[in-house]
Amino acid sequence: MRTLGYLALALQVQDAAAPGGVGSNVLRLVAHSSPVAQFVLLVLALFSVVSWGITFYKLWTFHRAGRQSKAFLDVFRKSNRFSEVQAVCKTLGESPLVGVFQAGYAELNAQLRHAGGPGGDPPASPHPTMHSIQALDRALLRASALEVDKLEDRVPFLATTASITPFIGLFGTVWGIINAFDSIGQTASTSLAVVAPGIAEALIATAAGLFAAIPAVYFYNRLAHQVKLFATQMDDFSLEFLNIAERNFT
Amino acid sequence: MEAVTAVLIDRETGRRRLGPMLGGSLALHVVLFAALVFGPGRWLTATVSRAPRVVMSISLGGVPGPANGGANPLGGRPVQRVATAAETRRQPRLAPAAKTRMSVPVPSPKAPAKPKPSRAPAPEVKSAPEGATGRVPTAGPEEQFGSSFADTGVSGLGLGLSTGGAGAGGALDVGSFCCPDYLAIMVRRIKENWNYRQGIAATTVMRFTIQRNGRITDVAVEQSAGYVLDLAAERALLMLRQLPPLPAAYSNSTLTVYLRFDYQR
Repeated sequence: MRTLGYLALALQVQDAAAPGGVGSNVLRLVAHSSPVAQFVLLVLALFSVVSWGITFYKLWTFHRAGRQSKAFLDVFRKSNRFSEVQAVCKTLGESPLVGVFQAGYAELNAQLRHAGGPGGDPPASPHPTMHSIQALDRALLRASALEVDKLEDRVPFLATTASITPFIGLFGTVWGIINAFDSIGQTASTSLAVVAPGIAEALIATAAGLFAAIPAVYFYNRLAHQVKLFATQMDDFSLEFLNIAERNFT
Repeated sequence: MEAVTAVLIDRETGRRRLGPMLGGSLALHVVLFAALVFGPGRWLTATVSRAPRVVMSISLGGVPGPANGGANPLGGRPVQRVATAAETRRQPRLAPAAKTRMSVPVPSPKAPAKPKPSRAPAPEVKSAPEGATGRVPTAGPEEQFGSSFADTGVSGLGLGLSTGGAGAGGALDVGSFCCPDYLAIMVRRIKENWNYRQGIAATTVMRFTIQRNGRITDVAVEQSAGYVLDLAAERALLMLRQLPPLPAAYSNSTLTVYLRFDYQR
């Protein structure tokens, strides 16, 4: 029997996919871009590195501060003597409440000592009295303000990054497009082959700017909210401290 | 110094450990950039469906016959084309007729007289021939047996695709691909190296890419029919390795082909 064979054929028109992928394109675009564009990219990279560093640092700090504040409050509410709490403070130094407490305790001690009492511990002297509850309040306020400053330290850089980097990227893009149009003028050709590389190169800068800005916006809002929570916690603690002092030393 | 201020100053000058975090951030960026540059490009680009987009399918069936280049009765129609200007100009100019003197033919008196046609008597019709009785006699040119040309208005393919000769069941669906004659060459060259008689009926689909210069690359089995049969199909492609360059009318840089090898018993 005569065998039969037949072929069926299907063709796919392949979209022009470069074998090297996008990654090598990015590298090539960066390498071929103008010095201004490269400088812009460098600045954006620095902003991104620093803002991410600050983000990691603050997240880590806030995490430790939150944990130690919780431990400190446990100790503070269980203890009857301020000196016991003061002894714990050294191990819980990251918590902002510790700063507030130390300031209040120092002010209270100073007032009691000035009054002629022998020690700072409330039960140690039979009837120690403090002069001014307002002075104690002011000391607590000072400490709170300082602690908030410490918590907010470097966070504004994230806001700066979030607002500036898109503009820096836009500057790089505009500069690159100026160059692209300049090359159109020089070659007197409007073909896509002349314009496209310049515009692709220019758009890298905007992408880099957004890459730096978007996480910065998110983490700025998150960290600012955490600072607000800590401030509320410190206010609450200050009032609690004032109440205890007023109850025991007036 | 006041006690509270001392406490506050002490709190102010706490330890800051931003440096290690900046180092970590820098390392993260370096890793990210390296992934961007050296990682596979498909992380960044949209995923292109790998299903073959069929733009044409050609199946050649039937007994392999003489390769006659696709000639068929309708393919023999004359083709008219507009002559180019150069050809038109090259037409030889007709020489004007030689001038002759006007003369009046005078009959020579010695010319022999024309023989008078002899009128033979017409044969006498006795009766109509057998089978012609009762019919109206036909008029017009005589009927003859033989082939004649009939214009049916059907446009022939004229593509020279019948590499298998006049086999039955041939089908051609040309999509947007510009140059079917290139495919015909490709199929013919592949079939030269392919032995479809493997004693079993099965189908292997091979995928390969034709580069601009005609080189066959990226030969891969798309649908397997068993190792030996895949090998036979792959061998056909690998032995061929070089095709004519892609036609100029085809604009893409490469052409990816999904080719079905149907083995039949």
